[in-house]
Amino acid sequence: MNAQANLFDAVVEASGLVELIAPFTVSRLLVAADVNPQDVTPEDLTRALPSLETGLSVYLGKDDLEKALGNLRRLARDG
Amino acid sequence: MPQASDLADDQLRAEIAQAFRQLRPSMLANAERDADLDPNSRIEEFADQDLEQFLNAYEAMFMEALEGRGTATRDLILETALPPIIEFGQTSLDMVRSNVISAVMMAHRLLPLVSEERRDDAARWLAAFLSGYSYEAIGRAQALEAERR
Repeated sequence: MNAQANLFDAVVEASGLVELIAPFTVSRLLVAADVNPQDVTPEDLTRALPSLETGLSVYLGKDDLEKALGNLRRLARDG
Repeated sequence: MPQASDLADDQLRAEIAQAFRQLRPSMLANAERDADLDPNSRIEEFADQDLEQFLNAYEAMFMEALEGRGTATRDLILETALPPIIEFGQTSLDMVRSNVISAVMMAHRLLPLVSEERRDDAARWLAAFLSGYSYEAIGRAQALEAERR
């Protein structure tokens, strides 16, 4: 598995979304930010954070959203 | 045909929002109790915290419609949740049944929390909202099913 695929899987996990919808939802939110989910890089993830926040805020309560955004920011920073 | 957003003035919106907030803490228990009405329910396959995410999405969509803020949240939910739900095995016909169950039980529980003098108006708003949502959701589900054939 390449680094981009690993990062996509990490983003899915960090999203905190229910397993059923997480991969598809994260893919759609990345595409909405003009990011190819298969080739996502830390820089892409930084650019996609607003889109991810918008989408996750629909599903997650306040505390879970803060936790997910913290995890996503860490991934964007550390890869 | 009137849209849901045309059917509520500010006072009615406030009453419906208050009723929804009153009902929200018991929605998970209500959904679990009503699951026996649906022979194809798969609610037992989800943890409570997972079901809360679906209820959060329902609340966001309900409030968006009540406040007349368009359909961006509804569209996002249908674009992100519906395809995996169809992949999971739920059919558009299953959705017709679950949407009717949900609509009847929501009306039964929500409307008594609205003042008697505005209850009929609230029922009209709820009917427009739920029928509009169902029409959109089932139409999209049918399109996804057609793509898979």
